[in-house]
Amino acid sequence: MTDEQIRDEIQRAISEERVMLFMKGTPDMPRCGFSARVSQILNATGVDYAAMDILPDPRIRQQLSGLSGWPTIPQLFVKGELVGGCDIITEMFESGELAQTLGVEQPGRAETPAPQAPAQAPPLQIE
Amino acid sequence: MGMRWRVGGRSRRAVRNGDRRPRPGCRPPARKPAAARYLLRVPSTEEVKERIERALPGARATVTDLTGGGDHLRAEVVYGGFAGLSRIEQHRLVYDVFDGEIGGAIHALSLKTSIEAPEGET
Repeated sequence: MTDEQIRDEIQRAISEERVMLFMKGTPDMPRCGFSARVSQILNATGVDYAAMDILPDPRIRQQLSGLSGWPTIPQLFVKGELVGGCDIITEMFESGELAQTLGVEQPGRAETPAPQAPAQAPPLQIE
Repeated sequence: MGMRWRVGGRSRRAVRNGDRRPRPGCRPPARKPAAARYLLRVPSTEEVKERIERALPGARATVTDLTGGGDHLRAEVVYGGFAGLSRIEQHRLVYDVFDGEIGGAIHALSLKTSIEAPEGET
């Protein structure tokens, strides 16, 4: 795959998927504490989302950061717009702003996952 | 070489919660040779604090090391210049201080940004 094909595929995912998460690993098997937290939060909101693992090819991350101007992973896009990474999504989730952005109801306290700080998550991958 | 990854490592369909089919796109991360890691000089929390405060005049930064390993840092930045900016824009201002280093020497920089309380309101 050429760099252009990778960039086009990322661009297409951002524009076609209403809620698009770029992460390390997958929602079922996240490979970084920060990515794990954001996918847990999305699961808690019950929103339908698409996810792309950036790890299989380092060019995915390069192209993604080039497009978004955002250096870190995860990155969450809603309706084609970058909403934020782990810190912003966590803050927005806690304030109820995320549910609003996603167009879903804020989950009740019982469903809230209370994600652990990434520091306590399983050892983070060194790339 | 065919396509090695897809949306969600699956079909075009969005990843649904609870969908546990195997994901062909999921591979372990490539490891850097050990020598390459040693070449990346990791800035200290003190240095990160100074660089933020130097780049954003009047900002106050509190930098902590989340893991003790020196490469997962958290910075809480209070800066009047954040006024009127979205969270994304506020975080970008701080990330820009470390252009190219985040994801490299600094594996992760967790941020919390806030706007300085006006004088007398603290």
